[in-house]
Amino acid sequence: MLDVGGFSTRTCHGHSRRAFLRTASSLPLTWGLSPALSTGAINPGKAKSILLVWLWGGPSHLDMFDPKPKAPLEYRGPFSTISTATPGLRFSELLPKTASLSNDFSLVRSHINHSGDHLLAGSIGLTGGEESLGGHPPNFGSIVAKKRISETLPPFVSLADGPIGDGRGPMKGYGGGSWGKAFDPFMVHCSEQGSIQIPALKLIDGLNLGRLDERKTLLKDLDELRRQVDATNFGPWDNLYHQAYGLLTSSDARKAFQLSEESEATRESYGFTSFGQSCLLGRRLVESGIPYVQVNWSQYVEVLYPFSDYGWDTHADNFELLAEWHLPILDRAFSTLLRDLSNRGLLETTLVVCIGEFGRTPRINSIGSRDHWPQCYSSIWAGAGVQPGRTIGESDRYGEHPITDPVTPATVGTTMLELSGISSRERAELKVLPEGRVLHELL
Amino acid sequence: MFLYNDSRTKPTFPIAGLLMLILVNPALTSPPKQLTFDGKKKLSPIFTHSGKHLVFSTHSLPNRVTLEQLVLATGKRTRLLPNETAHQWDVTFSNDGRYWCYARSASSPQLQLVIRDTHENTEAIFATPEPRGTVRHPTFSPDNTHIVFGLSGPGGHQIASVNLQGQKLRKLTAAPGINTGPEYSFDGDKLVFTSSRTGNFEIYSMLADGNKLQMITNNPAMDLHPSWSPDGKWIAFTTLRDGNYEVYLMNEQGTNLVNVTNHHERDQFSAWHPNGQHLVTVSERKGRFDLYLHDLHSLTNMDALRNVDK
Repeated sequence: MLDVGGFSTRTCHGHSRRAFLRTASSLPLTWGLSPALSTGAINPGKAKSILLVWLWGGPSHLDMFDPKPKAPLEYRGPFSTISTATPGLRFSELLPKTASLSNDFSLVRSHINHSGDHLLAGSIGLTGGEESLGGHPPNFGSIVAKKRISETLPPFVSLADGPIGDGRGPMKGYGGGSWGKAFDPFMVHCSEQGSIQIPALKLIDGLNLGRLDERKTLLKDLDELRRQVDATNFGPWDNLYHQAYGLLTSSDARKAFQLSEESEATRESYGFTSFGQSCLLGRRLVESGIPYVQVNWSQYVEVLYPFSDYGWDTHADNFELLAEWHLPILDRAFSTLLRDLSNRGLLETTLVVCIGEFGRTPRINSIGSRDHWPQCYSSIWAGAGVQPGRTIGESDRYGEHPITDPVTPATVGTTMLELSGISSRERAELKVLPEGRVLHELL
Repeated sequence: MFLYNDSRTKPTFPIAGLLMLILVNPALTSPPKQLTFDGKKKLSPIFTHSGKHLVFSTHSLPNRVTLEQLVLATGKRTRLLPNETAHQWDVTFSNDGRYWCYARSASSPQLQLVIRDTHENTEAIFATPEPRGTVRHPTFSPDNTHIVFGLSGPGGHQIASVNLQGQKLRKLTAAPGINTGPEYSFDGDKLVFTSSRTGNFEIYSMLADGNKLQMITNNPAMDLHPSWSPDGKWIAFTTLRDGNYEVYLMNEQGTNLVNVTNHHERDQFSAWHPNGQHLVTVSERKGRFDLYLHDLHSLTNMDALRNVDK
């Protein structure tokens, strides 16, 4: 179900029209950009689309893709390791399906970030840099969005109920940054049953997919809404109006968001979890030609603890949470995503990257769990020219530090953009990722 | 091969294969009964002592884990604490029906132990001094004098106990690794629990005072979430030894192993019915999580088990 009704922006005091206006002011203006905003179409690289699987919170690298079975008990944790399809490569025993596909992707085990704070590290992880006097650098997806024009679908979609953040608020790097809200992602939330909610379009009570087919009704509703907003002299509304209308009245565009178009078997294979169905939606959006899709396991997905557990932030009960929920859900959904993309021939032109903002402390903390660790973590890369079956980089015997050249977030972003056809010259023109390098070992 | 049979799906497979499977695994003679149908994530089910209700944690609300009660006779489900806004995990009940307790989230990652006295209508709370510490998997002693649980706090992740007022904390283990998930034997003399003290998760038993430790399983794959049958003859537990989560039975010596669930999708969080002849599991089927009731009449026949083990 595509649910665009029931406006749900909430404050501590409930819903309000002011809340709506605030939401409207933050709406994405990225697709259907005016010529003045767009820098023009480019020839796409091997990656027509990038699908970033963002594991927000800091997934434990030792308990997933960089286990240390020979380390002392206080480091290695309670999970055994299993062999993968790649000789000599071992993963956690809780990732058997992903392990069986290891010859279809490459693994990077030498990431570092420059902060152990979620909001800062997350912003760096998604932009490659830190805030400066010129503002915050744009998200990798915003950069792709600036170079791609789409008539009906937004070029940068983030599957979440709102900006990624923690209890203090959203991270600054979730969207356009210094480029403005015009380059923020188009947010879409996917429930465990696959119902879709588009926060930006929850404008009119009672508006639903059925009513969208009644163009007169829709126009009347939108006109009324525009009239109300015009009264506030709210400038971006025209853009919102055109964008929302473009999406809502294009059956092809709406179709991209409808998981009911998928067979039951396909939907089952991803698992009926919010993350699983989000992965399936991510595949559909890539299939529809959206150039940058960010699938999030965030504070809105599979949350078991309040005020914590922002996705993978397992300060408490790391091992039980990973064993009971996180890793089996990830293993099912992510392995299905890779297989599905491959079976449909989409992996040739889709770059898949699975990563978080940092790892977790190799040494188990005093309460039997793991804390933040930006000094070393892992990622998975597949498709669009990435040579599969490789392990890039290596961490030390306890997984505390890379013993090979560290891979920074700027390198992650630069490599993603290079594969999507945004060259070093274009990056320089855009003044993004000045210090990034392409991770050629992957290619 | 598709081994599972539920009330809504009638799979077909060759007769020869069926006969072979029946010989190998008597569980197939009585397919499990699906008890819930919403498919939402669930964990830690437990029967009430009458055996008429199941209580479990479920992710049925967006971003909240709540306790629900299922009436077995009718299938009716109700939230146990409809006004509670915190997450609620791992409920359990005292033998005399007077007390029940569960783990409740606090304003930090902390999970506190909440003990409710239904006679006095009072609530006692035990919280670890560590702001990120947790209490998981509580269980009442059969004599209804204290509660044993897995405690993560200063000193690591240990088995500990408090009295029914949430006081007089006593740690029963002081071992490395993760020690959690205790369950009493029917007579209260022993505890069975999960520990990673030697490397990976295995099942152990000890006397209720923490002495006479005995390692029950020893497998490269994880074994966890043990629960003792009401007659003390069997221990149900979850294991990854077949490559995915299955629920097995074994005796206290760790032998006579039987795979109860035997399915390519996840099965975990087993709990015994008070009659000792049924086991409930949280099982993932076709990507959905529901409660399934397994009839163990044939499985708990010792001769049959010996044959399987051979």
